[in-house]
Amino acid sequence: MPAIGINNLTKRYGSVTAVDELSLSVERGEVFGFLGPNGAGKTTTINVMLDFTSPTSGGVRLFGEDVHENSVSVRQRSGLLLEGYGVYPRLTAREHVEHAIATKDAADNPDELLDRVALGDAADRRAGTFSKGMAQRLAIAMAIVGEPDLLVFDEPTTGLDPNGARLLRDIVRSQADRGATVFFSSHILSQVEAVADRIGILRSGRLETVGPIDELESKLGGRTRLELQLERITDDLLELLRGLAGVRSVRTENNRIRIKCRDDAETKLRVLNTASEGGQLVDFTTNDSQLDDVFSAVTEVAQ
Amino acid sequence: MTVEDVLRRDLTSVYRSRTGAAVAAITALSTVVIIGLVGLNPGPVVGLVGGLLAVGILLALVFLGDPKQIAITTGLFTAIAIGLALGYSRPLSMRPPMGAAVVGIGSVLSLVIPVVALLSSYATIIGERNSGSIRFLVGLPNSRSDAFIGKFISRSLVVVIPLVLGLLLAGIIVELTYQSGSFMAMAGLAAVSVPYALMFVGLGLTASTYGNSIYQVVAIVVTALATLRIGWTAIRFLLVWETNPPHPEWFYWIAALNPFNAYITLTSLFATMQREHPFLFFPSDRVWVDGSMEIISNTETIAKTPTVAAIVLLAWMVITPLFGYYQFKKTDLL
Repeated sequence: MPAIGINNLTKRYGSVTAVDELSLSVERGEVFGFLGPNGAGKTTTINVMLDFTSPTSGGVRLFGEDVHENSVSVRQRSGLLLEGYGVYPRLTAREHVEHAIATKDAADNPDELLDRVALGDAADRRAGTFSKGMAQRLAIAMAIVGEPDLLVFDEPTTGLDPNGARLLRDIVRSQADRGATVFFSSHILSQVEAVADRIGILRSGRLETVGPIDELESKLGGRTRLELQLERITDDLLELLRGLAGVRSVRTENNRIRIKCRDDAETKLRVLNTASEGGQLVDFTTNDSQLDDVFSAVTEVAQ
Repeated sequence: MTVEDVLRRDLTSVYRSRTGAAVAAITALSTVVIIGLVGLNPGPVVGLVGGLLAVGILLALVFLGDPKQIAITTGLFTAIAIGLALGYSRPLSMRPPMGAAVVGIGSVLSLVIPVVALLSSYATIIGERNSGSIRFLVGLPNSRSDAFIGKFISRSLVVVIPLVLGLLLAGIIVELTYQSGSFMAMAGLAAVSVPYALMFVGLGLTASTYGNSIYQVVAIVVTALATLRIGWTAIRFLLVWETNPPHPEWFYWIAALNPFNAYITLTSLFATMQREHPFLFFPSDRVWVDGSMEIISNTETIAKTPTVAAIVLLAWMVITPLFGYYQFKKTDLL
């Protein structure tokens, strides 16, 4: 039985289809990266997943339980960091965590949890005075109360500085290590890439692609990017480069030429030779296909 | 028990904001302070001046002060009013009649209770939606029912505790410093004021659940108040505009179903009165005869009885929050 089973989920708001026949399964103990540009339907999916919003059709099961019928028990097993949450301005950090512990009938020590997110010194301060990053860390502490079986993080890095982002990554890893399933939703690829075992890319409410990170990277395999720095760039040279076998695209940017081409020695050599003859090559770098490319390829192709 | 967790969290927030203290301040002013000062020896004028001063200072504090300052000042005014009332009460024969206390407090409360109850409750849900904390409310394992009931109990306590305390203290003053004063009258007033207050907490909560912005919620609340208080009477009078008394019985039933009217009818139980309560929606059937009003008939109907009033008030108390409850249960909150 998967931790998350999304089955043919559709959610429409009037004439707008936010999520379109989405089916997705996340196994227990997996860290799943839910990636997509803003407005792709990630938050809507999460809202249905947690019974905040009712689906137009289809449904979601968490640990085999229908989320609408078993709303409370599903949330009892989940820890949430939701996009657009706000703290209670008049409660202290400790009171927030205590409230989560009491509501979940958990046995955690609030101070330990606050130390975990580096808020130990601010435990008695009212959350209304917190910066965005502090509030975010407080919400992370509340999410891991009661060792939940499932963690749902929606845009969790918003407002976090690099230290905060690292802290978040550590927490995701340690939660996964103890066997929790993590559903990590973000529009920032590098954040997802850093923690996820498997990634699904959502676009316009549809799942464009899903798979392990390395598999996605090799999907665009055999392609590379060359960046050339030249003394001067002429239109003739650009035309010449575009005409070479194996070259897919040529663009100029700040006195540099960016070329996407086949990833083999012959093609790369041909490109470099042509450039060197036509415009005095100063320097070059190569860049193998990255998840970034997968992301843009997947989301651009469909446009 | 998550109702309890929601309740405790919500009460803490309310009492650290000005809302809780402001509700207590207005309630204390409308009960203990009024009764205490009006009963004073040099006469009601002193009471009036003192009352106005108290209102002014408290209003300023409600807008400018923090909850602690409001609470301390309220406590201080209440203590002074009680002290003065007991220390400077008039000789027995000159004391104000108890009926005046009941009618006075009943009339003031018929308007003040809706205001404080709505003040304490109108932001309950929409406030959390605006700030985003509703994601904790519904994200933690609370059922929607637990969340709503916890909120309802919390906001009810915010209103009911100062209301009952204020009326009981007022009862002591009335007992000791009014003619044929009876503590039981104020206790009775407290008993009928609680369901009345709960109805308006329910109304605020329901509006807070239906509105999508704080402006919509305020609009719903104002419309509801105006309809119940003014529109209801206006329609009732328009229906019999061209006809002379005695009016048909349904005319009294329309009035009887109004919550304001039900409350006033019930408060009138606790004082023997010479005339009908001025706020009551059932004036006797009167006509102008030679330049003065004369009662030509007094329709007897069970619509005018306190039993009907009690049933009507309890029905409003139960039904009003139920609308919000069902809306909250089925709505897409995020």
